[in-house]
Amino acid sequence: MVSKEKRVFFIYTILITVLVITGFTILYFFESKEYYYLAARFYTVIEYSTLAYFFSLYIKKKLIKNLLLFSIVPYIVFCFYSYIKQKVPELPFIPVSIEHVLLLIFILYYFFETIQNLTTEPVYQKAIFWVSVAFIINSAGNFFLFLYSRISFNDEAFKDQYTIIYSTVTLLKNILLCISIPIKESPRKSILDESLNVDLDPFKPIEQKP
Amino acid sequence: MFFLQANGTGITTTLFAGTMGMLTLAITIVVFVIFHQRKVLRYNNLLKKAEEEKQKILLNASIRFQEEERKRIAADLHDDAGPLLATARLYLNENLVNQEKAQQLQSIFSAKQILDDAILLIRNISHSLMPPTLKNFGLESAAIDLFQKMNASGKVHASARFHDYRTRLKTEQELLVFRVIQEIVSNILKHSNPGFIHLTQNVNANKMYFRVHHDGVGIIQDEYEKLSHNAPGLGLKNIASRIKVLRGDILYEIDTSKTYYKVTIEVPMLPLI
Repeated sequence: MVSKEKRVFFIYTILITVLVITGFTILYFFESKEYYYLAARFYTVIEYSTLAYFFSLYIKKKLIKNLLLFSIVPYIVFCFYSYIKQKVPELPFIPVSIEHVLLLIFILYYFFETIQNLTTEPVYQKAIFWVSVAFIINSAGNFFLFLYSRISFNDEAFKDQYTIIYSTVTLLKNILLCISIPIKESPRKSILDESLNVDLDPFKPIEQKP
Repeated sequence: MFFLQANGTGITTTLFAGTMGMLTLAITIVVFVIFHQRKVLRYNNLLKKAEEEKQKILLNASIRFQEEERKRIAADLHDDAGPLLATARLYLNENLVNQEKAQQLQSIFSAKQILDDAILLIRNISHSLMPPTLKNFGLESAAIDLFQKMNASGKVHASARFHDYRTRLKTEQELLVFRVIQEIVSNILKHSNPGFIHLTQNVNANKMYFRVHHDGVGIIQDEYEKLSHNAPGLGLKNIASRIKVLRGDILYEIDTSKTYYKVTIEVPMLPLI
């Protein structure tokens, strides 16, 4: 039986692959930059939505879990808003930067929960750890790149830097994601913290004294 | 904003430094998480080892207890039942037929009395192994019987009350719970000098609870943990090992009013292992 988490990640991988293929088909076969940028925007929305849902499955605190899930809606709205407000078609650098900031925050929170919980197996024996490491490296590595891209993407020297940094970080991310695939996890155990302090009867010790 | 407005080499340096800084930060966090978790795991392993050590002590105590029980039963049979039966055999020897009728009757009567004593002795041994009330009528009757006997001694005011015993525990569980209660009560009588001992029972969320209250000098959970670990006696160790077999829990505490102590036993109403 495939777990829900694995199914979500599989769907993420499929959607991302389809969007990447679509994007490059549009760019190289139809040579339409406008539609390519639109596909990139879809890519960003799909990536954030599925990853947010994926990490929400692992976060235990209900408030943060809900926050992560509900952040998807304003994020999509913002992406749509930035698309209709853009003067010239461009890659969605601001939505991507926001996506990375949000992912960084939630992954850091996930790590915070991890070190708080008592577990019997090392954290690196869990697939989610490697997925988190992959995306924290990806978000941290590309964060400055996307911030600068907004103003310098037309600069040829910058494009070279962009390609080098982006490719390296993406490669690193994919390697880390590959590590997570063969990891087999033992089923999660729940430890019930039950109290013995149960009121058994209206016992009056004074009355019982001889 | 300065960085965002920089051009050429400025961008390259700042971008490179920023990216490296962020990556270093991310890697540091990941390494910290791994090392912190390894530290926690090491600590957990130490705790686990301590727990295993405790289990070993409990197992040894249980084995020692069984051996002592066997020795006691062997001694009872050898020292009491053996001589009784041997004496009865002497009365019923081959010469009995050659004796006078009156002497014969006297010998048979004496042998009968000795055999009655032997039967009584064996019955007592058997009862100490498995109380007949517990076997025939269940834990509720056995516990109430035990507390009534204590009360009848006049030394202590003892009472027992079962609130919800519609669903009985399994026979094995009942015997274990009864033994634990017996041990607790015996410890209280031996060490606490109580004015009263009261037992209550109730059910909550598929778990059965037994609570012994007393107003003597009691112990709290920390002391119980320490004593069951270090004390040379077998009583507390036996309680701990029986609770372990029951997959239950035990809690020694003092009431908030500080006027009496409570010992609560939690027993899951599940099939026994």
